[in-house]
Amino acid sequence: MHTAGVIPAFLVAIAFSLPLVYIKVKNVRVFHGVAIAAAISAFTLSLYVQHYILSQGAPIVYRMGGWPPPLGIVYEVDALSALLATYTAFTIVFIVAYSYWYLGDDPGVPYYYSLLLGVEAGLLGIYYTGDIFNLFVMLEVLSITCYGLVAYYRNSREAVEASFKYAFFGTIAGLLYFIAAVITYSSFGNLTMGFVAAYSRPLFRYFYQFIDLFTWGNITGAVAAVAALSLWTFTFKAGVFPNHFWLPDAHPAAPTPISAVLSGLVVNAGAYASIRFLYTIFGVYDPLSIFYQLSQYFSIVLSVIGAISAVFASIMMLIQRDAKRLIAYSTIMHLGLIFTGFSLGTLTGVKASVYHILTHAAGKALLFMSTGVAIEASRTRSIADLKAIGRLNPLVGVSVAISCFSLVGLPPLGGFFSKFTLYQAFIEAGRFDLVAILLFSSGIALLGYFKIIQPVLFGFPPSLNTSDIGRFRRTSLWASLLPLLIVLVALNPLVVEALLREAAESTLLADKYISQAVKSFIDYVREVQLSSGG
Amino acid sequence: MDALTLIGILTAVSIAVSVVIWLPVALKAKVRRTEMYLSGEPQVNFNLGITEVSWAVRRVFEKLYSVVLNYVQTGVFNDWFAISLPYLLILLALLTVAIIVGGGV
Repeated sequence: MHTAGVIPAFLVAIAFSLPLVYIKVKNVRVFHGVAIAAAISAFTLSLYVQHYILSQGAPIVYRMGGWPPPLGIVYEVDALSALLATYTAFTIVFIVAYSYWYLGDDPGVPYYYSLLLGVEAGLLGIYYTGDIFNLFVMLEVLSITCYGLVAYYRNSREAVEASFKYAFFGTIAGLLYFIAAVITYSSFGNLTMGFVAAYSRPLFRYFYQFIDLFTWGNITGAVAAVAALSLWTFTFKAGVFPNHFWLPDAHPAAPTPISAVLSGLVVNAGAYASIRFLYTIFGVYDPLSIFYQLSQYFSIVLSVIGAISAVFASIMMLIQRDAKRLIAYSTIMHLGLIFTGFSLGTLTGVKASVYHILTHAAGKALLFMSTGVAIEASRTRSIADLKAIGRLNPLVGVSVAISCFSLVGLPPLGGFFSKFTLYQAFIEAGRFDLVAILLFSSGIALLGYFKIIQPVLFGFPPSLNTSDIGRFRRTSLWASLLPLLIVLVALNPLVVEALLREAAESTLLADKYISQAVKSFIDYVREVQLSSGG
Repeated sequence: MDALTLIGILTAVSIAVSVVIWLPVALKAKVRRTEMYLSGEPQVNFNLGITEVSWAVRRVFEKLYSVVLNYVQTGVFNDWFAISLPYLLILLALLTVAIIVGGGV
């Protein structure tokens, strides 16, 4: 299955070639075309990978350069990572379409798409990788491209400062994760996620005794440090309290489509990596794992930071005067809720978290993009001065309202069903404190969202000349907003239940993930034996 | 309790929470906005519109926001480290204790 290995490499190749092509080709519209073609191709390929995995019923392993795990780097894609990768690629298609509207003939377009496709490559690499060190590489690919995009308006003091803060903290986070990878290697003897997961579960060591050949050191002693360092890094990437400081500065300073990518998609990488480490690799919530003793501690830590994030960010939403900053705080709130979901260690909890990742991504991308139109029309980010762009282009007004209502959790939108699943998970686990947190933060956030809805729908109309009015009614705007609007309405359990269940089960029970990694090694040995004549 | 009833209750409670929070703010707070002036322009008093929520909330929950803005979300690097570093140390200590208590080391 080479397709999974091709996608990030394909995106990186396009990303690097764009600035080179710009030396000869000066028409920036060409770059819009190339970017949309690359985004659609990445989505189509990721959809094919997901379809393949679901039809096979097991994760796939792609050996980089033919080297087997645990000696070489592998991509290992299961139902969870395939779902998130496909959804990410899908959302980016519409963000690129919006970028065409937003940036127009801006001379920085080639560099912009070079970085944006780098972000997509990093995200898909994070979801697909089955190697702890390769995850570090992909996190860095993602981070460095994000720093560049936040500082896209390089003459803006705010953008440069925000990017510097993001980069400074991001470098520390990357370093801490690197140390975690070093400790993992020095104790487990390898960095393949499937093998480390096998070693964490004695049952697999019994059946596959050869994996002991690759292992040395005190693994239980190492795990405390590895888990602490990596969780710190992942909470930084996800923008969860108390590592959220950079987010309200960085997200508003970036161009609006990048704010949508950062708030809707990039933060999910932190949540996904946390789930992958805690559930699959160390099996903290798996009774077969030797680290199962840590489950109650992780439940406490994750639910506390998640709850504080949700309450703190919702309170901060109320006092914001900058529209994009308000939405950035809403991201912290929702990531907090996602963390409380998977802190439970139950099937419904994981399902709810993954579901909320999906609905939040669509809702947040749509809210940023539609509010961005109002910001463009009003020429200010100040909420009090936002103009009623909804009167000029009803789709924008409807998009702002629907995305806010979905994020609040009003029926029958996708956000409601994901929050409902969160409620179910909390009630099943007897965590009524988290039910109260969810209710409280959603209630306060509703007031925050109304601050944006009110001026955009009921404020004064913008004063625009004829050419500007045409700009705010372009087809590219409809093409980017309408599909995400439909997704928000369509993301109900009837459509996604089977996908979510598959993803949650593959997360909670890592048996297939481990078996496929080990099988890949056995297949390699068999291939070598056959090629050398037995 | 069936799912539909639960949906209704949870949605209603969520909206009720926001109303309960908003009502005292809207009823109590009157915002006095003093524009920049040279000599004696009148100060303007006005009741709250929903877009003025940030003025009102800051005024009603003044202590809460002063703590948050002065000690947590300050925008100063040093203050961020003062919170993030203890978080890392707590994680390390907690998980090490967890491993030792569980007999892992």
